[in-house]
Amino acid sequence: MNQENENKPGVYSLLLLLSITILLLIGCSSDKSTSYKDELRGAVLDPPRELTDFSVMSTKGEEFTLSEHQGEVILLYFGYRSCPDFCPTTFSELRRVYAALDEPADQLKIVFVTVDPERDTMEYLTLYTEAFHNDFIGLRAEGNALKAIEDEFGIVAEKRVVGESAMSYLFDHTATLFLIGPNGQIEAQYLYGTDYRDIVHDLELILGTL
Amino acid sequence: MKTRIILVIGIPLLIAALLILIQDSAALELNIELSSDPYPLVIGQTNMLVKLTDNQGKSVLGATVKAEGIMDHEGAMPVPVYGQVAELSDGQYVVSMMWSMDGRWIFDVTAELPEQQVGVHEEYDIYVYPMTPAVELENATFKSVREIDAMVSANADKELWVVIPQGTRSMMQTGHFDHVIPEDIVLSVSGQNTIIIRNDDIVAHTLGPFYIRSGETIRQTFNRPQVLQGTCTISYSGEINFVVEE
Repeated sequence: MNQENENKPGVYSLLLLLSITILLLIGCSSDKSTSYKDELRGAVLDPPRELTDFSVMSTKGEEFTLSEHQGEVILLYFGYRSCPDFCPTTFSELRRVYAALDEPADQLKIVFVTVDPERDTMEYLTLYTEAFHNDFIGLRAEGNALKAIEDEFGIVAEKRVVGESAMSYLFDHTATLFLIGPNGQIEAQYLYGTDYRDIVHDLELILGTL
Repeated sequence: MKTRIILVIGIPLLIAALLILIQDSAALELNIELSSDPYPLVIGQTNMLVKLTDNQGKSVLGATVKAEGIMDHEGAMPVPVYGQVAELSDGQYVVSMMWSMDGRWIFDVTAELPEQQVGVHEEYDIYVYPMTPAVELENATFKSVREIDAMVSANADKELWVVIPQGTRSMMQTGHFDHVIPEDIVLSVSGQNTIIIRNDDIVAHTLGPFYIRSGETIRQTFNRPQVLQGTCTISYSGEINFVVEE
C-alpha cells in the first residue's frame, strides 16, 4: 500500500509531461532541411535553385551524375587548370575546408568543372584536381553539354586571347563556389574570397542534418 | 486518483482550447492573394484571380470585389480600366480585365464584407507584355505594394533590398525603364551589412557576382570590408559596385 502511494506522484508527473509534450508537438513543427537556412553565412538562395540533372565524365573514371548524389552535399566550382589566380586559391581554401571537416568523403563531394575542355584533357584534369586532394572530383564536358551546365549555374566564361598562339588564352570566369544541398538544389553560394571558416560553418550545419 | 488524472491531462487540454478560442475571436481581417491567367500578363483579355481569405486562412465567400487598372508612366492617359468580377467558389473571384496597352500598370483590388463592415484594399505594381514571352514559367502570385514595402522595411537597419520588378528587361530594351539603382551600392559591416536581391522579372538577372533567376531571392551578409565589381543587367551603365565599408 505504501509503495503504491509513493509511485503515484511519479505517474502523475509522467502524464503531465506527456500532455505538455503532445501540445508542444501539435503547436510546433520544423522542416529539418530548412531549419539551418537562416544561419548560413553564404549567399542564401530562396527558394533553393532546382537543377536539371546532368551526367558528365569525371576524373574518377566514371560518369558523375548529379541525381545519384542526393543525400550528399556538393561544393562545386567552375574554373580551368591554367587559371593563374582564382582557381588555385579557391582550391587551396577547399582543401582547408575539407581538412577542417575531417574529410567526410561519404557525405561531401568537392567537384571542379573545367570551362576549358580544349586544354584540360581528362589526364591533365585528373593530375590537377588530385594534386589538391585525391577525393576531389574533376568534371569535363564539351560544347552544348558544358554550356547547359554553365547556364544552370549562371556561369560566365569568356575566352581572352593573350598571345599569338591559339593556345595562349585565359578565361574570365565566374569564381563563385556553389553549395548543393542533400536535395540536389543550390542552397547557397560563396563569393571568391569567402573565409574558409564560414564555409566550414555552413557545411557543419548541413552535414549535421544528414 | 481519478481527480488527479483528470487535472493532469485536462489542464493542458483546457489551455489549448482557450488558445484556440482566443484565436477564433480575434477581429476579422481579409487577405488577398492575386494571380492571373495567363501569367505573365499580356495585352488583351486576362482573368485576374483574387483569392480571398480571412486571418485564419478560411475562404471568404460573398464579398464585394472591385478592381481597376490604371497605367503608371509618363505620357499615359490616367483612364482606368474596370474589371468585370464574378465569384467562383472557395473564396475565388475572377476579374476579367482588358489590358489595352503593354507597360506598367497599377492594379487596385478592393474586397468588402459590408455586413461585417470589414474590407481590404491592395495595390499591385504589374507589367503587361506586348506578347506572350518565350519563357516557361510556373504560375506565380503577385506581391502587393504594401507587402513589398513591408519586406523591404522590416529590418532596414541591417538589410538593403533590391527588388527587380517584372518587366525590367522588357522596359530596358524599349528605353522605358526608370527604376534605376545607383552604380555603387554601399553597405557597412557594422550597420546595414546584408544585401537582399529579389528578382520578380521573368528572366534571370546579374548584379555583379550575383546571378538571380526569375522568382529567386538571394541574401548575402558581409562580415568584412570589400569591393565587388561586375556587370549589371538592371542598370543602363551595365556595371555595378558593391562597396562594403567597416
